[in-house]
Amino acid sequence: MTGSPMHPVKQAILNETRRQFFGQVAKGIGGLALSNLMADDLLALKQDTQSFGGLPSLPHFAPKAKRCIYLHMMGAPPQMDLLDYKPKMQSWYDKDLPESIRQGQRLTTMTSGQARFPIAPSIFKFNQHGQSGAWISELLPHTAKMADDLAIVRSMHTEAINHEPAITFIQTGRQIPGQPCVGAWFAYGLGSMNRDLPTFVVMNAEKSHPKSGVQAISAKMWSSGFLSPEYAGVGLRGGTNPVLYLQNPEGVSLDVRRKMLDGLGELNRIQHEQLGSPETLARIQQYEMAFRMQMAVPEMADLSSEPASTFERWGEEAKQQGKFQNAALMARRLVERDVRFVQIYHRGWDVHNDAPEVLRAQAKDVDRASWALIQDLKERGLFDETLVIWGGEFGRTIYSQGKLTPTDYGRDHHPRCFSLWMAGGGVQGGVVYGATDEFSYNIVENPVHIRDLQATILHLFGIDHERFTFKHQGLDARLTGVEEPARVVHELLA
Amino acid sequence: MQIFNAPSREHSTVRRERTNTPLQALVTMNGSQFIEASRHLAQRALREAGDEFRQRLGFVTLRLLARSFTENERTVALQTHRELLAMYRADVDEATRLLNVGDSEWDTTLPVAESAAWTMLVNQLMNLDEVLNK
Repeated sequence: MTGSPMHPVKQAILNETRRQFFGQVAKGIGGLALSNLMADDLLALKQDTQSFGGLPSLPHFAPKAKRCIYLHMMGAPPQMDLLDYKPKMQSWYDKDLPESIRQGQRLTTMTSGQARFPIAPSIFKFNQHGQSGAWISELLPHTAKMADDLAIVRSMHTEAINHEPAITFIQTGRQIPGQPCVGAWFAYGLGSMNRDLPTFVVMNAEKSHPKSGVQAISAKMWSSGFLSPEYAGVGLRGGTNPVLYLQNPEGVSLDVRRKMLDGLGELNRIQHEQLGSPETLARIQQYEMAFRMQMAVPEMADLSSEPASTFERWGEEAKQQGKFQNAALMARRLVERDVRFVQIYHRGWDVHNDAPEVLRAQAKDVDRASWALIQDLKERGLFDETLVIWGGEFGRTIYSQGKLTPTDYGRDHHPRCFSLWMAGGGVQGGVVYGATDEFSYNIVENPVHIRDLQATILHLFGIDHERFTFKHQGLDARLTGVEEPARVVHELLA
Repeated sequence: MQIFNAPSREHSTVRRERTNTPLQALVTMNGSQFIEASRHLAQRALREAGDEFRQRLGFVTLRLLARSFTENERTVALQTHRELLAMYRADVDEATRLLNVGDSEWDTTLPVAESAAWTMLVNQLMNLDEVLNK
């Protein structure tokens, strides 16, 4: 070939194809195993979407969603200030929460010592939006604009009252750690749609206000539990090393790395000819994938390829590493590149104190970005196949934690009800499902337990939550657990 | 350690998983400890194994694989070495940067390009399936 030298990656891909072609001709059917491309094509035949890995038995039926972006609001956003309108509470300012409402609900030690439980109505105004007429708070003006794309669930509930067990619960299906999380189940069951990027990616976004309380994030929240560790979430960090050890060390250029890999592959192939272990072939493949990741991850993370119009829609914060807006924009870029499951943990929602002030900042960071994310997905024809979830791990109390004033209050944890929204990926837009009492304390209509949410998510991906199991310690373990039956909430499905 | 299937200790584990993932490849290729270890083995080969490629290669494979390479394998290794040496001779700054990876000092009595080429050759060999499974 004449002209300038080919990019080493292109050269490598060409070389791979030629070697495999000759390999097959020389070895006949044995050469089939050597060809990773061929094997992947065979695997892809079983589904109309190209996917690599995953179980042959899945999906059980035609999926609506193929990708998921899960926006977890760590710390638990207060439902009555955002999505669960309680106008009657205005006349209850500073009155005690009636025992008939509380019904002996256990409290955390943060408020159980309080002499009074004065009600703190939300100081934020609500309005109706969209054709559904959903009541949404002034803190979420952009979210309100897309009310008809959302399914808002007001009747979520859980048993966990503190963050670590509650997040573990909503992510893994059990309060006690050790189970795989949702993303890991998907990676295991459905495999990847992309050969160059991790299947399950996790990002952490910093809190929005100096007074925001932060909770510890631990890697167990995206752990693979008893499933193989290759299904664990891969943390995407800011900076030049978005994935640990992604960058070549000093003194190792792309060309040097490519030469090293060429020789390595050749030596491994010689080994394979002698011993015939399929593990050796897998090893060759993994090294080639690592090489592709070294290109693909920085390419994905490089926002300079985005047009100016992107930042007109998202705002300039989307350029700043560490901010929620930036993570959400990355999430869009990841699903554009067919990453299966992306999760963002946004910290700072634990408004025990200074709720109005902190909430303004927290909501500002997520509101426009969530809206921009969905507009971007629609524009790219990805919305119908990408499930977006927004929510925390439990709700917050209507009564004030700490001193209540007309302009300030705090709220403690409240597991009995919380709000969450979903959009895209086969979710019915313009739906408001479930209702709480006037105090946003108890559920009065259509409760949705965390397990029901998980069953519904699996259903959108074409998976029957009861049939998708993994044998562990003698049990057919499932995401939705085996103790209580979970239901798919069909009213949320399009 | 998580990348290499260390049990999480939340369940009792009778048999540890052995997976094979690109993230593991990234650690053993790019981790500075691995690069530094490669450099030290390379330096020893250059100092102790004589002047010929075959002798030096034998020194390394004996320690990494407990055997010598076959003729086929030797050909591949020689090819890689030749190409790496040419690259590092053409860019001595690159070579020096590689030799500076890790806390320990590199052996300045040894030729720079050779040291770098051998470091990368050893890095390659340390990533062989056979070595990782030893």
